[in-house]
Amino acid sequence: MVKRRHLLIGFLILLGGILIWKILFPSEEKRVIQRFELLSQYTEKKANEDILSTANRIKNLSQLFSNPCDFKIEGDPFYSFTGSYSREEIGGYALRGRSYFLDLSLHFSDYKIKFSDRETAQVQLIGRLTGKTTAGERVDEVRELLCILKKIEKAWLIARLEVVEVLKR
Amino acid sequence: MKQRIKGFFFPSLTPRFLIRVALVGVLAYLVFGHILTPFLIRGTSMEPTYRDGGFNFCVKVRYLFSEPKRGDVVAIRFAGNQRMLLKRVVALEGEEVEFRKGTLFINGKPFDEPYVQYPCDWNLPPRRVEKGCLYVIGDNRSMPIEEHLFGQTRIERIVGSPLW
Repeated sequence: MVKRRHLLIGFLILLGGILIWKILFPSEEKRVIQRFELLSQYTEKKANEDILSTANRIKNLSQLFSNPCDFKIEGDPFYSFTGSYSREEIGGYALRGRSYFLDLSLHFSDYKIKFSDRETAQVQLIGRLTGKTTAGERVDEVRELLCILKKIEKAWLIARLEVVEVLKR
Repeated sequence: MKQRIKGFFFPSLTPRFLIRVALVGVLAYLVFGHILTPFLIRGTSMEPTYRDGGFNFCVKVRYLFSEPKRGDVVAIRFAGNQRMLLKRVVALEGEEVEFRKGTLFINGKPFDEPYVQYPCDWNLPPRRVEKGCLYVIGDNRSMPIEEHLFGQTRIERIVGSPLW
C-alpha cells in the first residue's frame, strides 16, 4: 500500500516537473505561436482605451516585427499594403488602422509551422479580425496568412507577412 | 404505449444502446464532416442560382476521381476549413479569359452563359489561366467588376461542389 502511494507521489512529481519544464522552456513551435498570441493581444482594442495604453500597445506591437519587415497584402481592390516597412512605419500604420475601430480583436488559429533551419520558421495560419468601426459598421474578416519568422537575438520576429491570394485576377 | 414513449425519450443506458449512439455519432461525423458538409450561403455573388441565406451541402467527394469541368459550381477553400467561396468554373488551365462589354470570351470566342441573368458591363483584358489553376466567377455580375471576387485559383483549393 505504501509502495503504491509512493509510486503515485513520484508520478505526480514527475508530471509536475514536466509541466514546469514545458512552461519554463517552451518548444520553438510554442515560442512561434506565442509571437502571434502577443500580436493578437497588442492589436486588440477596447472601446474605452486610453492614450497611454494605445502608445504602449503600438510600441510592443512593432517590436514583434523584424526591422524592416516585408508585407504582401493585396488582392482586394480597396486596400493594398505591399512592401518593406520599418518598425516605426509599422507602428504608424497600426496606429492609423486601429483608429478606424471602436473595438477590435484579432484571433489566430490553425497553425502549420515548418522550420527550414534553426533560425527560420514558415507559418501558415488563419487570421480572423472582428470589430466595430467608428462609423458603426461591423467587421468580420477571415484570411489565410503565410508568415516567415526569423530568430534574431533569441526572439522570433515576423520578417514577412503575406495574405494568401485565393483568387488571382 | 406510454412505456414505449418513455423508452424513446428516456432510454436505459444498456451497452447495446451506447454502442448504437457511438456508431451514429461516428457516422454523422464522417458523413457531415468529410462527405456532405452543410453550409450556409452568405452574399449575393452567385445569384440567382444560389440565393443569399440559402442552405446546401458541399459534396466533398465529387472531385475525388475527376477534375472540375467548365460550368461546374465549386466550393473553394478560402480560409481554414470554415470559410468557402462558391463560384462557377468558366475556364480551364491554359485557356484565355476576357470580358468585353459584359460578354465572357474564352480563347477569343464569346461564351454563352445561360446562368447569368442580370445585366453586366464588365471589361477585362485577356489573361491566361496558369498551370494547375481554374478560372472561377460568380453568376451575379450586376455589380461593378471591382466589387466582385473572381479569378484563378489552384485546383487543390477546390473542396467540392454543392449538392443541388
